[in-house]
Amino acid sequence: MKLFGTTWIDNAINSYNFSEQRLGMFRIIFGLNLLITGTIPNIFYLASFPDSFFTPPIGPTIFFNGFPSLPFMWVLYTCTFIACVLMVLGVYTRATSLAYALLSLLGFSFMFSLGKISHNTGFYFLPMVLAFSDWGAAYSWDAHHRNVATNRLRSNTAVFIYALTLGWMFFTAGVPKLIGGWLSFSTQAGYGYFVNYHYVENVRYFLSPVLIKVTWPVFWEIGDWFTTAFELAFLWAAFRSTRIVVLCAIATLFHFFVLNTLNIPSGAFLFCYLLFADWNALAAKSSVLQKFFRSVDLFFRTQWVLLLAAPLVALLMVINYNYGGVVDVVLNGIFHTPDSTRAYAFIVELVGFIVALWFLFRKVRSLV
Amino acid sequence: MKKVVIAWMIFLPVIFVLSYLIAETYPTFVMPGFARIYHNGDNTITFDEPVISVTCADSSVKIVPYASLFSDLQNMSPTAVMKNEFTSSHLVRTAVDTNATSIYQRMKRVRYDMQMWASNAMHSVYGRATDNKATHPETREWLRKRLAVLLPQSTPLLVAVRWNTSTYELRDTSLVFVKNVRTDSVFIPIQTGGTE
Repeated sequence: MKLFGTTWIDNAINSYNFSEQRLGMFRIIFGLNLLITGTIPNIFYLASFPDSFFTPPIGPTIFFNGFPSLPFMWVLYTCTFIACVLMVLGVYTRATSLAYALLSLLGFSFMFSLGKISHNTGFYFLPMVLAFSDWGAAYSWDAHHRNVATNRLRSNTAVFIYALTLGWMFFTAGVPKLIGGWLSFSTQAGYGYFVNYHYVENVRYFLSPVLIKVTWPVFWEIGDWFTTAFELAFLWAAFRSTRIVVLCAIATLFHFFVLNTLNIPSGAFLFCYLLFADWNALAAKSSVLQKFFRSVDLFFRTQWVLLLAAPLVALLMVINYNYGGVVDVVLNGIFHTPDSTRAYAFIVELVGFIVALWFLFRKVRSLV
Repeated sequence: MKKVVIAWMIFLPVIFVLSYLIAETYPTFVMPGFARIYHNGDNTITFDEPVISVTCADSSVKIVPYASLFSDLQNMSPTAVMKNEFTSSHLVRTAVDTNATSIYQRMKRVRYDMQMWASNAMHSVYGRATDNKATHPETREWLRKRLAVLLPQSTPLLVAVRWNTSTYELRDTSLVFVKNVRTDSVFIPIQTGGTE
């Protein structure tokens, strides 16, 4: 191992040798989730707060002295939608991915100028980095109508940089736990948060009313140790694609547990982890996926893609502006769920939980 | 390509230190540590609670659930906005957290000092209100409008926001009040003539 001869970096980058087909499939799944769940930043509600509330984090909005005007919000919202739809359709994918990433970053920056940020880095940083990968070179309009040169080394590096960032972010969550007392047997830190959310924040969905009755300290202490260990291990895992996929599966189990205790929805983050799923292998095994991606590719051969973009943007904007997202229309309008964001997260995370368990079981069985 | 990766490997720890010592950046490359321990180890739990009481023109005092003030809020905890807007100093909560003695809490003390410095610098550069935001005229006007909706039959004169660090005992999956310590209070006159 040469430290700055960087053999280990080469090995890490080469382990993310993802084909353009695999990345293209992921781009569509990731982008569709953004569009149907209302993840595109909607900042119109900020108009109801006075500028004295404006407390921007260190970032793009630090140069503003208050919340933006309504026309500015409309322009930002529309442009973000257009960029996202074009990114999903694979039209000038690099430019539109970057445009979407920067515009949504600006939108989120305003959204979090009330003194508290959210850690949704994957929503804008993933397309920002993967803009430099080959994710627009297959299953896209570009693939059939533009001469797009691929560069496997650059593409692998882009994926590795995202994996490294994800691993680092988990690591930064683990360090304060390690030195902050989570491993002390005298306190059950995770349980303390659970009680706080349950009684003070008053969020009591899913299995929360059942799990709050579990007062056995060993159960919660194991949870504290497990959380700290897997968060710290994420950084090590980022240096191999075979490791990070295992940690993403463990993280999926963790998110499902968090959803059922603290009721914090993380369904959208699971779509970021799907970058590391082997879509080629999945499509080879599933006839439904195969048909879906084959139809998508046939559609991208036509110029209908460009004709479709404008009405698709308009339709999604109307739905997202009025109802929050397509998912909210279905869950609120048809199934009358009281909290569609958490209900959608529960569905996604339950499926993720089952798939992750199956994946980990197979992994363990192959080792034995 | 390797140079880009190495540069990124250097950038990530730098941004972590910056986020930790001064304030979180956005975009952020750090995840929340949830390092604060609410559970005291003796079957009690301690956490911060804001209580909003409104003194009206007819001398009655009404308690307003703080979450109801922020019904328009999306993707954010009302408690977080309360801590940002309705404390006598927006750094008071951080200061309270530094009473404990663990390494993490001592590091938070350093962070607090750095944040004070950054806050003053922001104020001098941008002229933006970083303190006493609760009594800012725009905040008072916003409160007046919100209370007109929440308390339509009353004429609010004064809003008091009292922050308590409350301790509860966990007993049979319910919380039994043990004690609370007042950590901060803010008084916001709504109409002319409002006094404490």
